[in-house]
Amino acid sequence: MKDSEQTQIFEKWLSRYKALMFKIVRAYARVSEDQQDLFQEITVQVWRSIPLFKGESAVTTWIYRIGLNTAIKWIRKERRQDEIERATARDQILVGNIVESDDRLSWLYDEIHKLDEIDRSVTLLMLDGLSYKEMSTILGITETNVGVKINRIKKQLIGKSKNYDYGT
Amino acid sequence: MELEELKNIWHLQDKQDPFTINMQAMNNHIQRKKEKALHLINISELLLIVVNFGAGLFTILVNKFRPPSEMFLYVLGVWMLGTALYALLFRIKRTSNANKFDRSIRGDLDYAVSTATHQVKLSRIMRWNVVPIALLTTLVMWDGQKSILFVGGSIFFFALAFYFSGWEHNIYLSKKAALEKLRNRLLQEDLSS
Repeated sequence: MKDSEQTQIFEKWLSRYKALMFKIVRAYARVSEDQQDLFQEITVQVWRSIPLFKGESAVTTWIYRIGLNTAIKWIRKERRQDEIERATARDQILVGNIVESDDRLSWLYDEIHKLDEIDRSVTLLMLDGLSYKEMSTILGITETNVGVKINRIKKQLIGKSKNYDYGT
Repeated sequence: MELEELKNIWHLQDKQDPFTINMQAMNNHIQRKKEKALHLINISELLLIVVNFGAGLFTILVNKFRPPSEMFLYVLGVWMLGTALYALLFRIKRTSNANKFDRSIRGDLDYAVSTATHQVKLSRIMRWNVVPIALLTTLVMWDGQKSILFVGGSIFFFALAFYFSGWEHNIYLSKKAALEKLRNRLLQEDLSS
């Protein structure tokens, strides 16, 4: 695959699926510097994955796989950055600050941050409305296991939302 | 709130962009990353191969062309070349396994665990490899009638290398354990269901 072709596909994917990438970034990184770092890492991995994409799954599923894998790996590394990456982080790829239009969304992200890295992935996929089959493909586990995890997380989130409703 | 309401809240962000992307900065970043493909494990493996190969070859050649040649020096040189060959075969085995894993989160974790297992194995072997190298070096010095102080100093040096390589080995062990724990957490409910 030619570089220009790869870049063209990448730019198309980025404009179409950036919201998905932003969600992963916000679910795994809290502060702006970390969000920059993780976003850079995800975009590089997505760019690298383009020649490997054979169209056997939907692009959304593919980007979710790459994005979530990268985010889990990024958390594990605990941001071991080298000098080049630090310099790049100063380039500010993401511009702007998050101004939440709804406080409940901030609350939801806070709750997601309390989960471990695996459950965060499941929660993101669940909230985005992916099917069990798609989730099973992305996570590499059985649909039964997906169902069990979703039930537990759903109960947990709904339970905590009751506290939010009462303002506690 | 019920799940549907949570989903509605979640989808609120689809209509707004929390960030703007600086495309120029991102393209620069991708270009830089393209040029930087080697990972730490690659570097340490390659170093191990090159250093052992170079040192082994150097030892053999020096011994051959600077008489009187010593038998233990030959053995030491051959041992180092053997170590380089072993590390090379280990590396070939590891890289040929890389394509066996799918791109799911489980596949990625399986691959990470497999790489960590490789690191643990290699670091253990290389740690114990210090023992025959220390023994051969001591025999070479003994044969060359070096002073007790010199022999003692080199044994102390090898003991330090053995101690610190054990320390490094434990870092790899705990990294591997953390990865296995994460993978078990992903599979956990599968086992109980």
